[in-house]
Amino acid sequence: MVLEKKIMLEKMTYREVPEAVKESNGIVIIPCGVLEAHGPYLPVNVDTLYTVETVTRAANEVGVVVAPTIPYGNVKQQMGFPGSVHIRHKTLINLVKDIGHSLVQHGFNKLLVVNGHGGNIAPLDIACEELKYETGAITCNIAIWEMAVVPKPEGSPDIDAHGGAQEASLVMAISPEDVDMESAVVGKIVIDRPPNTALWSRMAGGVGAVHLFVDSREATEYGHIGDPAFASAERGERVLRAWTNGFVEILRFLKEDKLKFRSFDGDNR
Amino acid sequence: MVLEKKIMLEKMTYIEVPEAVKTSNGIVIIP
Repeated sequence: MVLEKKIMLEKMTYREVPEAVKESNGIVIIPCGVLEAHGPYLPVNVDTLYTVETVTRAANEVGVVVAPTIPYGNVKQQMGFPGSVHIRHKTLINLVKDIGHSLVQHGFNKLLVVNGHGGNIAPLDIACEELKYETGAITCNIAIWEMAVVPKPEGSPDIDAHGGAQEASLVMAISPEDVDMESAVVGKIVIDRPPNTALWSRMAGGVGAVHLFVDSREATEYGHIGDPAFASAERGERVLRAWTNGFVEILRFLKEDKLKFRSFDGDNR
Repeated sequence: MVLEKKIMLEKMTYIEVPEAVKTSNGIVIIP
């Protein structure tokens, strides 16, 4: 059993891959993060860090294959802060599609792109939809932070979003040496905005009817939103467990072939 | 000195990056 020994595609020999495809029932996860500033006290790989951690925990539990992580994405709005590295929407779309086509060629038929960053939603939606019609595979674009909502500690500010206490908690739980609490400051949204409006890409948390496109420097002073005082490793571990449990449910549903599409005559491409 | 503690860009905060750029004399490796 290959997946009892390893779940990472990059660690497999080409002889092991067909067996892993069978054991995984065709499921392969493509984790997608970003390199993006997260306030003055957190590393630029926050989104990648928690995405990989959650995916690895869930994939080990269910027994599915994980492809190498895509570490770059759409972070145009954070390019004012050093260390952010942006790739264009079309670059990300083409990258995911080329990876997807290769994986389908080797027998995978359920491609799960697991995303850790709001700004990647739009390009990954396009990539997944086009892959479905071009390959016939089941494709999903999964926002890992939507797997579960974990209550905030009492007294937390209403908005705790990009680079806020929840994300700091996740880094504290996974890689505590990467948090610089001496540089931590409260991050506030410094603009007024119309009602029912989300600052794309979801910097303000939640989804609004109006997606207002802003640069991080236009909306914040330090590039993050939240109060680091409410962060802790324990909180981060609670979030990781909740997200993992939510993702495990999805993986089991797909691995047990519970997703049944209606069959119809004709070409669906 | 940032680079004495870490060399991986992904591990740096945005505050540390300009100092790392100086110490590295502008060199960055993309493996």
